Amino acid sequence: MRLTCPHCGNRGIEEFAYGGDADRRRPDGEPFGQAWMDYVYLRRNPAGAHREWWYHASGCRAWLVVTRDTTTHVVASVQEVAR
Amino acid sequence: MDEPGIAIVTRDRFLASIEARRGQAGAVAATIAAAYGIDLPSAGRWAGGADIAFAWAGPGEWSAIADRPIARDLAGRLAGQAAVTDQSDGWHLTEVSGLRVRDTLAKMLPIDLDPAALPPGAVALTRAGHIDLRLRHLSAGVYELAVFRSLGADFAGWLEASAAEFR
Ligand SMILES: [Zn+2]
Repeated sequence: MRLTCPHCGNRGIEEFAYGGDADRRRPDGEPFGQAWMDYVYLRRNPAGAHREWWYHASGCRAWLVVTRDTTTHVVASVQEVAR
Repeated sequence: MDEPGIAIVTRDRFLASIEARRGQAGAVAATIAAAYGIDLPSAGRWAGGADIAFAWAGPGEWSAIADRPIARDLAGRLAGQAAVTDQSDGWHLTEVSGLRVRDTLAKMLPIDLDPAALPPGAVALTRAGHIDLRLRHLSAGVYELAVFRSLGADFAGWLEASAAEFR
């Protein structure tokens, strides 16, 4: 698998670190309970389109949001996170 | 004498990191241009010469590489515009060249080293195995490789071993 970093160009996956589901939201303000259990432990793990964090750890050190099909690894988009 | 297959030289340089404060990248570029006559390079590029150069080091970040102490001067000029940190002790710099330099580097670097993709003037932030590395293509077939100093001995060992067959 390869990703095209908006700064560095097309690079192998060994330069990146996976950061998980980009659509999770911290349940700030919620008391400890089911909402936090879901946030910490539960993942949707979809077969298909998935928005996820990737960190260009061995490159420009930018956080990216990648939209990827988990069944084919086809990358639909790579976007930089606003600084 | 014929050009060697590979030549490896360790370099001593004075380094400083420059991180533009939010919204200040334009002001930083103007300050550098006025003070040193160098246009701060865009992504994947470096600019300048052997006395002082600026290499892109990430979004809004550059590394100054100079033949004299530079951090204090930069910090003064860029006060309020950027965070400047002396990195002279932090990096191990190696210059590599020779007919087989790309064959040597290709053993570990996962990027396209062809001059069409990485011409002189280019900078690549990448890795050699598990060692993060910044490469500058200085002039045709001459590369500067920068790794964190604590990994310098390890990196030098790999480089020597990889180059051995091309000596
Ligand atoms: Zn990058």
